[in-house]
Order: sequence, then structure tokens, then C-alpha cells
Amino acid sequence: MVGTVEHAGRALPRRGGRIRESRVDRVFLTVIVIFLTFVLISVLYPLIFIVSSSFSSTSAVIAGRVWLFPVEPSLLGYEAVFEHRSVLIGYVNSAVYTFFGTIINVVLTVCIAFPLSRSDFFGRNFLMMSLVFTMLFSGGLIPLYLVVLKLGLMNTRWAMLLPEALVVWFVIIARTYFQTSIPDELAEAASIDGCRDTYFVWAVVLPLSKPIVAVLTLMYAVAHWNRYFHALMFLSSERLYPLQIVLRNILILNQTQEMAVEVSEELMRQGLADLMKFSLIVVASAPVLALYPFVQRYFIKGIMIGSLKG
Amino acid sequence: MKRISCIALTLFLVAAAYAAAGAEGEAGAAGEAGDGPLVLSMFITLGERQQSMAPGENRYTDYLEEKFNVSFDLTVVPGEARLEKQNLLLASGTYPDIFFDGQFSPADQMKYGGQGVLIPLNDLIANHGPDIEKAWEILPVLQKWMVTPDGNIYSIPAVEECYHCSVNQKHWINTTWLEGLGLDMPGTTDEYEAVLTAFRDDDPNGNGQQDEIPLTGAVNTWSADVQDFLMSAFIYTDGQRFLTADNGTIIFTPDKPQWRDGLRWINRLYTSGLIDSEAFTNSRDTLRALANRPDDLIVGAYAAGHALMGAQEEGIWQQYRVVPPLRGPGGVQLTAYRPYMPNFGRFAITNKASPEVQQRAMELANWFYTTQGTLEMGAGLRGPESEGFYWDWAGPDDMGLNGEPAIYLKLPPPPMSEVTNYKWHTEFRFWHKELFNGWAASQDIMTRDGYERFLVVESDKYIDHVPAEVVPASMYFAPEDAQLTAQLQVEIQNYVEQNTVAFITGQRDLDTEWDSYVQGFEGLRLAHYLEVMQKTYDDFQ
Repeated sequence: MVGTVEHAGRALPRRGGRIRESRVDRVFLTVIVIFLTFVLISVLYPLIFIVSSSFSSTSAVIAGRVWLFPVEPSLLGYEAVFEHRSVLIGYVNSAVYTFFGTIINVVLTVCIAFPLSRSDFFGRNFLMMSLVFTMLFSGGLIPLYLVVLKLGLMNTRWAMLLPEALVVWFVIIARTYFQTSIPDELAEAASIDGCRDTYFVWAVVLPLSKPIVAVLTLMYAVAHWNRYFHALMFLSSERLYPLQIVLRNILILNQTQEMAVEVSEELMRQGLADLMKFSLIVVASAPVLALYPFVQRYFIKGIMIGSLKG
Repeated sequence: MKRISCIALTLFLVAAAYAAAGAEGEAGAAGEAGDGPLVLSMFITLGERQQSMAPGENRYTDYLEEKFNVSFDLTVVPGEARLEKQNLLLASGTYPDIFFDGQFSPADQMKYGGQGVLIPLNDLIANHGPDIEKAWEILPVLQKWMVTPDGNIYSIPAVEECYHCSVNQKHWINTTWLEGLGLDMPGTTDEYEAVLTAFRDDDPNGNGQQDEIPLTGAVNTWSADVQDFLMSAFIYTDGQRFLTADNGTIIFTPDKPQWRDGLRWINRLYTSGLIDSEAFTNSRDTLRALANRPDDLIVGAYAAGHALMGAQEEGIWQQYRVVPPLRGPGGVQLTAYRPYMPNFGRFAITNKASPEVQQRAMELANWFYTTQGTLEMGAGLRGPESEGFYWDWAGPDDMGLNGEPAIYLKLPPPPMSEVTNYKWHTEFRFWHKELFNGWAASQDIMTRDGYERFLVVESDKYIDHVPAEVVPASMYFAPEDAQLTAQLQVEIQNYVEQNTVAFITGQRDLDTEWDSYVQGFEGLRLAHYLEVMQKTYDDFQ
């Protein structure tokens, strides 16, 4: 290979520069590949480690003998997770909140983003300004709490679905997408054919906007799945708790700086946390990870387009 | 990310709001007007693995409802959100009649008491709280903790008088290694250094490699900081507030020459590899992994509040016993002492409670100051194991943690994976010394069943070295001082902790930088802080 390069260099001096350049390129590429490999390893390794640990025996994990593949393979962690009633209840609750919450979010976002994207929409600027205003200024926790309380949402599933049903940031992304990809002429053509605005959104805009809907769905769904603070503030019944609260209760336990009045109890907790820690993390992350590949192809496209300024 | 405005929310929900608000109003009115049991609306925290506190679902809630002829309307809060939710309820004016297992700091008690949100409990205790008054006799300092500077009592604390927790500044050393190397338990700083050096050099685990870690510890957990025990051979340190008292005078220790001598010694241990270089970053899990290596043991000694925080496997943990407090070159031989573990402001009654509710609430609080109530708080209703209960009175042969006849015994609790609704997982109780000692335990301290007794036996080696006078864990500051003092305390504490580690690890030099370290306290207004502490301490006594 080297010989060929040298030979070519002698025969055609002008191309010699290009060959030398490609050597630089090759070095550059090698560096990039090495760098990306490091990035890949540093991102992938923790994931593999957690999955491997979740399939290993507790004593192997504690003794630090797991570093890549499962040691003393065991399914006890998963058994414990699925036998733990709070985990199951939390799982079902989180799924319900994510599913219905995301539907509400996406419907509301599209319903407000589309009108805002039309230049002939009356009061468009005022509405946009008032939405942006809420991005900069918010009432804070106590007013939010009072609103939820006075609306009678406290300690109901609605408290997990309705507050923050619309994220202004996503509205702006969606509006920009509609503005850039749905020309006004399309709306005109449709209205000439006798199509009402609602049907236009349903039959024309939505099919053309799959990427942005996919992006909204994913972002909202992840936010719902991870939502924790609202549950802490607005729910006071254990039956309504989402998985995140249950997860924290089990995993954060032995981080305490407090003394151990009842050591036996503390050790039992620790044993449970040891047993369930990794399997619980895997089980809790699985739905989001499973959702991602389906939406990902839209995701890149959608968020790029949405980021352009109208 | 910023989110939806309240306006937009209201637009979507206006109809639902009216319907729901109306329904709620009716329900509230019906509850008060009925002839049934008295309704107590109560804030309560939820245990980690508890599924329900609700009447009909929680055995203990049902029992109390019947016992006191009340009906609970509970606001259940996850334990970790306790303070946030409590502030939210108080700030929004939607607070219930009673805070049970709340968290009112001394400053909060004075603030909400002064506003009239929390009602004074003095008369209620006098008329309906006989066991609380009895508790004042058992633990006289308790009354001081409860009475705020205006003379009123706005809240009732929970008490956990745990003997081994009161002397928690412990080091655990591998006695098998000591015996193997023919060494005695160290009694002075020099002897400890010699032992650790032998651990480093003489291959006590016998695997032919120099893989031993003579001394390690962990941070951000209970009392596993390696330096506190060592420093106590030079000057008193509690590892938190760094205050001690002598004849009523408060003394701050980290700017004293003895502190510097201590640092110099610990720095020498560190630089000669006797203290694990990871000791100041280890988590508790790392410490446990180090101490439980299945092939060859590598940890010679470790700092921990109790032994099982490190070595845990059967056959390994039994090898570790406490190092009694060391005598330093100046003859100092101390250990930190925290005689009581009061949890302040756990129970309070608000101005929303009617006189009947107030009375019933005080009867409820009083219940958890009785022996039986306290024990029920720990393990639910009493009864034999075969019928699904978790504690019972002790038999004549059962021995307690102090080796005297026991009062009660704990039966095996349900496994952690089970959701439990047999008790309230709250902390409001009066678990004083007698009840701690009366806990029946196996007297064989080399078994897990005898572990609580083991901790008592090991703690006996520390108790003689506690200082005669300690600054109370919590005091009522004057309202104008409270906030600044709390702030200064945090800043001073961080400053000392960071610099202690820096001096030990050699990032800062003890010869050249000590003076600037001491001067740094001026910027943190240490003098003002100590003045306030002194004034408050004088009032307390």
C-alpha cells in the first residue's frame, strides 16, 4: 500500500499533494474513529454494566465482581421487582399517566400551534406573546398548588395529566414546523374545495406533519414517564403514585446520613435495595428505550426542521 | 422549561372546576355536621414500603379510630416531601387540624406559633397529656426542648434515645489481623500508627501481596468519616458543628493549635499510605465492597457508625471490633457524644382545630408517649407471632440490650418486598433509654440476632470518654438571629470540612497556610456566630 502511494507520487507529482492530503485525512479519520469509539464505550458501558448487574447475583454485585458480563446469573432481582406490589401499581399508574397525558399534550399542542402558524389568524401576536410570557415568568409553586387544589384536582389522576398540559417551547417548535412546511396556498386550495379548517388540519396537515407529531409524542411521553415532583406535591394516596416515586423510595433509602436506630430493619432495606436496584432501573427504563427506535427516524428530521426560524 | 399558564389551564377546565369544587364543599360540610365520630383532619407521612394509611386499609388506623372514637381525614405525604408539603400547606392556608409527624424546626415553631397558626399546647398538655408530663420527669431536658422563648409549647418532639448512636464516632479494626501479627489493641495514637504500619507492611492477610488498606472510611453516610475519630485524640470534634462547652462557655475547636496538631498527625498517616487515598470520596457501597472481598480481606480498619456498614458477610464482620478512643500525645482521649436524638416539632395542632378536636388530638399525642403506644409505633399491634403480630411483652428469661431483664421483644418483621399496612411508619414516639435497653436480644454478640447487644457492648468502651458538657443538638434562637445563624453554621461547617480534607491530603500546607485558614473564619463571621450561640446557650441553661 505504501509502495503504491510512493510510486504514484513519483509518477504524477501533481497528484502527490492529493495523496498526502488523503494521508492527513486518514489520520484525521482514524483520530475521529478512535475518539468516537471512546465515546461509544463511555456511553454504552454504563448501560451494559447495569443490565449485566441486573442479571447477576447480589453478592457478586456488592463484591464488585461484575464488570462486563453477568456473574452467577440470577433472575432473583426481576422476581423481586415483579413481586413487589408497589412497583406493579406504580408501573400501571405511570403507563396510564404517560398514555393519556401524552394524548392530551399532543392534541392541545397541535390545536394551538396550527392557528398560531397561520398569518391570517386574528390575535396571533397577542396570543403568542402571552404564551411566551409564561416562559419567562411563572407564578411559582404555591399558586400552582392553589390552582390544582381549587380546581379539585388534588389527589386525583387528573393532577398528573392536566397541570403543564402544554409546554410553550414545544408549541413554538410545532408552530415553526407548520409555518415552514404547510404553505398558505395549501389551505387556500383546500378552502376553495370547500374544506373547513378543522378537516384541513385532520386530513392535510397532520399526515404531512408526522415528524413533528412524533417528536412531540416522544418528548411529552418521556416527560410524563419521568414526572416526579407533581406526584409528590399533588398526590396523597399511594394507589396513585407513579413508578418514579416507588423507585426512589426503594433506591434512595440507604443514602441516609441518619443514624441506624434499628439496625436489623436498615439491613433488610439495604438487602432489598441491593436485590432490586439494577433490575428496577432496567424495568423502569425499558418502556422509554423501547419507544425510542420507532420515533427516532422522525425525531432527527422533525427537530431539525422545527429549529429553523420561521 | 416553562410551561402552561394558569389562564390557559382555567380555560380548559372551567366546567370541571365548578363541579369538583362544589362536590368537595358538600363533602366537607357533611363530615362536620354528622353525629358519627369526630373528624380529625391530619397531615401524616407515609413509610417507604407502606401502601396505605387510609381507614379500612391500614390495620393501625382502624385501631386508633376505634380507640379514640375519631374518623381520620388524612393528608398522606411521602416522607421525603414532608417539609416541602408542610410549607406548601401552611403558605396556601389549606393546612389540616393536626400535623402528625411534621417537621417544625425551632425557627418554624416560633414563626407559625407567633402567627397563631400553631396553637399553644401548654394547657392541653396539663389537662390531657399526663404521659408527656411524665416524660419530662424521665428526660428533664425534654421540657427545655419544647418550650419556646415566649413560654409557649407549639409542638411536641419525638425522642429516640439510642445508646450506641450516642457514641457513634467509631473505628472498627480487624482483630484477627492483630492476633496474627501479635499486636495488642492500640490505646494511643502512636500505637495505632504502629498497628496501621504493620497492617501495611507485614502482609496480615497472608497472600504475599501488599494489597492491604490499613484504614479507610466513606463520606455522606452515617459517621464513616475517617478523621473525626483520629482528631478526638487531640481535641473534641463532633464532625458537624465543631462546638464544645466548658463550664458554660462555648468553644469552637477547628481554629485551635491542638486541631493543627491533629491535622499534622492525620496528614502523616495519609502521606505514608496508612489512610486509604479514596477514604474521602468513598460511598457507603464502596466501603462495603472493599470490606467484604470474598477472596482475601484487604481492609484493616474502617470508620463507621456501626460495624455492618462495612464488613457484613458472616465470618467477616465478627473479626472487626471497635478501637477504643485513643489517647493523644497531650493526654486527650475523647469521643463525640450525642446523648439524645430528638426529632423536633413532630406533632402540632393548628388554629383550624375546634376545642373538641384539640382535646382528642392531644389524647392521641399522649398515646405515643406511653410505653405501649411507643412500642406500637415501632411494630404495630401487640400479639403472638403465630397470629401475625410483630412484637410482644418479654418473658422472664428474655434479656435486654443492657443485659438486664427485657421489657418487650420484637418478632420477625414481614419481608421487605411485602407491602405492609400493619402499623404507622412514622417517627412520633417517646423511645427513651429504658425502652431502648428493654429490647430483648440474643446475648450471643457474635450472631446477627445479638448484633444490637454487640453494639451496646462495643459502645461501653466509648462511653467513659464522652465530655462532661455538650452543646444541645438544637436550641431556640431569637427570631432575629435564627436565619443568619443557620446560614453561618452551614458556611462554617463547609469551610472546616473542605479545609480539613485539604490539609490532610496535602493540598494545603499546614506550615504555610494555617494562618490564612484561621483568618478565613473572620470572613465567615465566626465571632458573631459564637456570640449568638453563647447567648442562646446561656438562656438554655
